[in-house]
Amino acid sequence: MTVQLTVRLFGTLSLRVTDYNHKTGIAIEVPDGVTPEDILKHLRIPMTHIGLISDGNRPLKHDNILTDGMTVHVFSLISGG
Amino acid sequence: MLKLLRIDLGKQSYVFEKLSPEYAKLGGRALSSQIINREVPPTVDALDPRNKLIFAAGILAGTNFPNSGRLSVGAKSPLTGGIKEANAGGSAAQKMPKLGIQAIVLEGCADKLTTLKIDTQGVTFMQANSIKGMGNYQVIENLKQEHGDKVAIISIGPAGEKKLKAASVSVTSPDFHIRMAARGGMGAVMGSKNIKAVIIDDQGTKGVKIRDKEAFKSAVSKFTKGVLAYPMIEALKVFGTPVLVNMINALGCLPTRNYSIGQFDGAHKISGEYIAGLMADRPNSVSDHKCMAGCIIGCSNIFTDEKGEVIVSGLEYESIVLTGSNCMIDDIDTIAKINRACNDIGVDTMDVGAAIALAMEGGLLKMGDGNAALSLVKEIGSGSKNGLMLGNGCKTTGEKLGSKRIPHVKGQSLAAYDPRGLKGTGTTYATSAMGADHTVGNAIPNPLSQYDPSSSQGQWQISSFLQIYHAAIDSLGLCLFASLPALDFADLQGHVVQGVAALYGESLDKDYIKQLGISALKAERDFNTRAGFTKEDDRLPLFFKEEPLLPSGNVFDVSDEDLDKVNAF
Repeated sequence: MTVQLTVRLFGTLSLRVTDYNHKTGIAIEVPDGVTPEDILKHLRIPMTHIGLISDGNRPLKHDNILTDGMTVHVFSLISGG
Repeated sequence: MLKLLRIDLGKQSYVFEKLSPEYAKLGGRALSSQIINREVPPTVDALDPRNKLIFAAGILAGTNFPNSGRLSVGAKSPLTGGIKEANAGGSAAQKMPKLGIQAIVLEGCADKLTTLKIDTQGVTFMQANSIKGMGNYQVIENLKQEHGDKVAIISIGPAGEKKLKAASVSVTSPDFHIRMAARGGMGAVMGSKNIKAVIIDDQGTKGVKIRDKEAFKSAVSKFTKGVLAYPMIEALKVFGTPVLVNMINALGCLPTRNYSIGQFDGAHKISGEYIAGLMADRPNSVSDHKCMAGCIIGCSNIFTDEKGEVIVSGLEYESIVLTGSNCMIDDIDTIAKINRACNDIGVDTMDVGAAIALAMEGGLLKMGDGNAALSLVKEIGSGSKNGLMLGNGCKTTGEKLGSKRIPHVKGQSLAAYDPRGLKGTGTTYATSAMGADHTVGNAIPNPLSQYDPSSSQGQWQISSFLQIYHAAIDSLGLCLFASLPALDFADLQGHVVQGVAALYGESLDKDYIKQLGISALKAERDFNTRAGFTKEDDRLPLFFKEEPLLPSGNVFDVSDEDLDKVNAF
């Protein structure tokens, strides 16, 4: 079984992915049971560079299970000032 | 050993004073707060001549320790009625120690509007008639023409001269852009003392004496390497603080429509990513501007229009959100113009932004009308009734308009993080002696940590920890962003301590940073207690507890008992 996901990258993260499309993000098909951490490994983005992972409405933990059709928003590590 | 420069404005006299044991080896916020707590009567009116205005350089200022040039500006606040320290980048703090000065204490009140010049000859008192009523940009240009481009200029705009409660203090960057010690009405205190500007000229001075140069050099090298390796720095270099917009929006905590919603439909159009795209196409825009000498990050920017004319520098997250999404304004050029007008008049973009939203909610102008907001801000300078209301900040504006939803603590407006979703930051807003403030302890989550910012539990511990740490950072004169990596990597804190130890030529306690932070916080709490503050002042406005934040439905539900534990050091 696989799931279809859309991954949207913010901040400098998009610079790490060749031909990233800012309007559409990246569409990926991955095995069922995948987590945000797995997605980032797939994209070769270290977890230490991440400030927030969100489903668009609420934060996700690195080990949450992603479901078919989700859009995952991933943000550069940043803090307030 | 550096000294205090005490200036008696009424007598036009001054003295360089050896630091007493109570003030020795302090700098920045810790020094400013100790002086205020010991020397200012806590119940005195903030605009009374008995209040004192302090400009304090950080402990590491004047050295080549990275990002160590924050200037602390302190006094009793006319906005909060409590103690205040607002700090800014710029070049003033780096120059003061080279002149042998750890802090400048302005006492009393000048008879006429005055400009002070501080250089190797001492202090010169100059009439300021020619720049009276002038905005900060023209003041800086005139004084630069007169005194050269090697000086630092601290100044106030018309709002400070009018003693408005949201008046800010401007500090020039090395290239004469404006940085603001914006919060708490420090500009009004400067205005009450009849001081329009302070020029600091360190030409002809030698560097700061470092006792153990080799150890200091090693600390600088290791700290620099560690900070630059931290992943967050990359995003700050490219996008600056506006990169926070999309993330805080995704968290559902972006203040929108006077803190009634946590997400803004127009967030993308005010985001760091969008601004960077605009700036790439605009002549003379700079995305990695450095506000102080020795900066290794460059998180500031110079935002220009399509013709390449500078609108403002820097265009920062807090200003963008408080005058943008919180007012339902999504046009970044209009937001930048509001920012410029605030800088020129000399008012805090955050308190004024919160006040604009209240004025919109109260029907004084249409919600989301950017041009009307800009016109209203300009009225602060011209002194209309509504302008004066706005210039006195969000609490005054909300009360005059009969609002029940005034987003303030101790009279100071909240920052650009809704406390219902970010409850650690909300706990800091509630319990800081400074009033609602994010720089004194902002708790932003990280997906690798177990910290849950929306839980009602565990918030007082993180807020207390961060408030202690940031009080120390403000005392060292370090920029917030250079100090954040040290929260994740303890060895970086060790390099900071090593740097201070090498500067003094003596060993320091392993808990030096914690002790320094607590010393500042204790002085601040003591002053506020004697000024009449109680634990009832350490609370958020009721609507944050009762009104669910959309779309999450969160309310601020950290208990009063937990809030009361934050400052029990």
